[in-house]
Amino acid sequence: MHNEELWQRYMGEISKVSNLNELQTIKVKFLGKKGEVTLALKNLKDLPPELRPEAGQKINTLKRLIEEDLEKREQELLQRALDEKLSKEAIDVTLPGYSLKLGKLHPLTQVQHRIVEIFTSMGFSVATGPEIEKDYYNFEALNLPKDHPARDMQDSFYITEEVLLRTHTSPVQVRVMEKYAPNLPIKIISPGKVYRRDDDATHSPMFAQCEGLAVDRNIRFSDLKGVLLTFIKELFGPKTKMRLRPSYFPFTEPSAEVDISCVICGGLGCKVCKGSGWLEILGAGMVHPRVLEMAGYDSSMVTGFAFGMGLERIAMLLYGIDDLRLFYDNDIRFLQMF
Amino acid sequence: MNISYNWLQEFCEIPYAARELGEKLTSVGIAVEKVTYLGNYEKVVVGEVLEVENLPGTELFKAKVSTGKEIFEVITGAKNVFAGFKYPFALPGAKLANGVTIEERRIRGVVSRGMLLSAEELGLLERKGAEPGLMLLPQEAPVGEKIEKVLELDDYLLELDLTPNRGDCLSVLGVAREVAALTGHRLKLAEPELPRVNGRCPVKITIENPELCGRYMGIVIENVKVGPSPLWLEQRLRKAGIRPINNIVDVTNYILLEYGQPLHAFDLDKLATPEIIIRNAREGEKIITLDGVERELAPEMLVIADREKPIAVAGIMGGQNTEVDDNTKTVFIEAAWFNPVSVRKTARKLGLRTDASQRFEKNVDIEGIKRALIKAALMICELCGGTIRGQYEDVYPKKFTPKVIAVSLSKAEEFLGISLDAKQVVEILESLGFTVTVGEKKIFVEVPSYRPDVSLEADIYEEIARYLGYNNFPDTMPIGITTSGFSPEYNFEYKVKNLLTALGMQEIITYSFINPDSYAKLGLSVDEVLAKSVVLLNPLSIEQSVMRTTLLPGLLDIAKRNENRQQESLLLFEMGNVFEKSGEDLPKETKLIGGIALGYSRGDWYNKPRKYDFYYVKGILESFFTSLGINNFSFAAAKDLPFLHPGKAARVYLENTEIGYLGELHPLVQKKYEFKNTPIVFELNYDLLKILIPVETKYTPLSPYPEVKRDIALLVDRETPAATCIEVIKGLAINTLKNIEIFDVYEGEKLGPNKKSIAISLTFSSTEKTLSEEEINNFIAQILNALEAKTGAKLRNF
Repeated sequence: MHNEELWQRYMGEISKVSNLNELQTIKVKFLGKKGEVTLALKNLKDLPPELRPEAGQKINTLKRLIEEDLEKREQELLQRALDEKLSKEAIDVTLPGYSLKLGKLHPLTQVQHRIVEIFTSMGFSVATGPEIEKDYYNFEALNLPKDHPARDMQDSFYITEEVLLRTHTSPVQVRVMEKYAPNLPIKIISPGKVYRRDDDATHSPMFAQCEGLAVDRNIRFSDLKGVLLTFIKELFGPKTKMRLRPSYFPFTEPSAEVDISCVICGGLGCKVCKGSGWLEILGAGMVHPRVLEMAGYDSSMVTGFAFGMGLERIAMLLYGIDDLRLFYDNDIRFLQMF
Repeated sequence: MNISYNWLQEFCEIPYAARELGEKLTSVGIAVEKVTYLGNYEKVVVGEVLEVENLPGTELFKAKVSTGKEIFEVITGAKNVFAGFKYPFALPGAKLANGVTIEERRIRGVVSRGMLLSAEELGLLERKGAEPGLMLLPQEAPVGEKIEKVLELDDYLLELDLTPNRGDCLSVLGVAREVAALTGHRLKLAEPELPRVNGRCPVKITIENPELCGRYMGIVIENVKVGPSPLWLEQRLRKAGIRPINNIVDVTNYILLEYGQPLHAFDLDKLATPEIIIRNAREGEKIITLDGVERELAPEMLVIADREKPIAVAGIMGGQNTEVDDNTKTVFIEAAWFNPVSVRKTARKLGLRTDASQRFEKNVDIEGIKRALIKAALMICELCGGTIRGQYEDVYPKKFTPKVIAVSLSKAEEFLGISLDAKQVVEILESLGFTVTVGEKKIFVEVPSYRPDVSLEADIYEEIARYLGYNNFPDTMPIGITTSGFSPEYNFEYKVKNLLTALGMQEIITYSFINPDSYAKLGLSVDEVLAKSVVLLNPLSIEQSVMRTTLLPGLLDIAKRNENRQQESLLLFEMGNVFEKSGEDLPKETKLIGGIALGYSRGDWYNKPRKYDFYYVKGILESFFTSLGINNFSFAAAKDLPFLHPGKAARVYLENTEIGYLGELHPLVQKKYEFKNTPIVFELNYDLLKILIPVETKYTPLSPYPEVKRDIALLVDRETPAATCIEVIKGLAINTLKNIEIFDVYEGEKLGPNKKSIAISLTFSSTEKTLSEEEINNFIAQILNALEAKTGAKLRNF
């Protein structure tokens, strides 16, 4: 059969094609204006009329077969060409990206922020105050009159006899109470820098604190425990346990030292907790009635709790830092770890 | 304060082992830091020396020591080794408390088996003034007995970390009271009685200032024989860390430890007349105290005096002039209550803190004085062979009346957040020595004289709470009005810091106090800066003596420190307060943001490291402002900042307010700091910045019509600031001109001398229509005309 022979020839030639140009040549050779199939179609008129329909149908079928085959092959060749191109463009994806260096917040700022987030979510607002304070706000209004033996607990840097670098952020609490009394409630935390005249391996003359205060008509000692427990579990994890020990601060009564189960050993006893299983992390208590009175509240109607913690201590526990001095040494290799 | 467990047991039955007791005491607020066993000796026993002979040709002795079972030959250098006496003896293989082991060794060819010991070698304090040598044990010490038994070291020491309100616990008795309350056992406290004696006290006592001396008691004991105390007494002192001196002084220290009442013994014969006057010191008066130091006294200080001279600084230390010595025959023992504040002030002023002053400062038990004095007198009679002469004298101008606090249990329940059992509350308070009367609605609590720290209802709540156990309270949340916790100021500050880190800057925190020399290094006049600075009265060192007025020294120091540590890519910022005198009560505090860039931006395998320069940091600031919604910032050349390169420095303005500076560090400052690279520094006034930030951002509709961009290149004088050209263009107020951007600056020979080219891209867009070519051309012409008129700029022909 003529058609069969044509198909065989087409297949013989097309199977050798390896690129689009060659494909194009074959396409012209068979389907072009002077192509073999086109010619075969033209030659139909030379056939006797009764044979034409069948021959025409056959040659058209052949044409369609070739067209479909060419289309398929063209797609394949296009795909192959694209694959080749893309493969040549391939890069080493394991090389690092172009450096976009970001800075980081100082670890103390980060810890402060975590603490602020926890307490603001419990309804405490952030309050701030001056770092250089009057003796009145730093001591006297906190039930620490001059010559009170407890003043020895906080050796101070003085500017004049009446002005000093605040030794805690408690004066912020006094200022806030003075401003709002007799309005209620007060729920604040006061993070900030504080200063004590001490400089050794475990003391820095400037350090960071965060203190808190809640004053209302019915604040209970058990509320202090509840709020602190919530805080501790949020900060150190839900399994952390809390322990309170009676203690003494002139501005609170009753007062407590607050321990958490050791974050390193979980309470079994290790080097960090000196084998006790507990770590002291903050001081707290019920606001002393005299402090409330001096700030303008009636202590028979109003109660409150207060607490305070050192941020360096908390950062050291959270990050496992073993040297306090690193915080103010500001080696960027240290700072960029966090 | 260190307390012996065995001594405590004399006052109260203790059903707990020492460590357990320590935990229990801590749980009620008497913090026990550490519990230590004292008898950590192995193979150290009482040895009796049988024979002593000199080791020929040496100053050493060869002694035969018996342990009862065996005889050992030892070599010793001690001068006080005598046959027939008993000493601590370390057998070969013995282990001392400090971990040292004693082995057989050869001394001058003789094998020495074991070692005779001194007090020091046993880890004990030597008696004051004692000849160096072996520790002599009493004759009745059983030979071969373990040394820890004989020296009463089979005992535990409780190291207390007392809070300043609990001065009453600076004694065995005080701690025993808490132990009794803890255990429920009775406190065994005997009230000693004087034997019947005739006549009055031979010493006349006068209190001139009853404010500062609330009670003064004294007693005379004659015919005393001063000498060493018996071993048991010395050992009690040693365990508490007090050095034995002589029997008289040791007894007074013993009473101090046991009852917390400091006593003082005067040699009565050294007084001018048998008279004691408690008075304020006179102007210019001096005394040599027992430590041999001459002290200048001031009129506000209280002294004990005879008719002629001060003989003690009240409550702090006695005078040498009336010191008890080996020849003393008659002593006057003082027991008193001195005003705590006065003692504290005087001790501070004299720089003299003693075991006595520490207790007076914290208020000794004014009702316990008599007990202490009588017990001391009886002990002295027994141990020093003296006899009491006459009665004791007691000057007590204003007798103590106990406070009574009315406590409402229902209020206590509300305050503590726990329900209380009235019976249990009464039990707790009574076990602590309070006397409780139960009324109808309240209980009335009488406070004992030794608890001056208790004066308010809240103090009683605490006593109840600490014995109920803080950890037995529920954990509740406050009830009441919900508060939001909204903190806009804090949040904005946090946002600002985060923005700076996103711009590549690392936060640092430095001390607020700096070295005044830093100002000289910056080329500033130290005197001028100090005149407005806040200066510390008592700095730790000159390096930390002045409150900073700028963040710059801190930034430079930290950058330098990091450069020294091979860190070559530094972009640092600090946000913190600076301080300045204000004329008000308190100095002015201003929050600044300071920054420094030093070295190179970190390169990678594709981009070369880029040196930080002025424009790098300016870019950071511009992005910083824009991110905060600030668009009206500007920079103007500043030649007059002494610490900056005069040609590479700018002041920063928001609107028309100066808020800071930016610039390259002056080469001379750079040299002083020995920087390898050139720092670029800036400081911004955050307090100003935060109030100048536009409160609201307004929406402007986007134009649906196409934007048209035109670039122009201007030829201007080199000195013409680019900002001036921009200002001129802006000044035309063409409202379809939406954006002006400088995209190239070029200087080169072909432009001619002192010329530069500035290429500016202009973007036009109207919200009403598509701008025509003609309209744009008109604007450009307008712009070029204005630029030429105001700056002499010409359109550059390429």
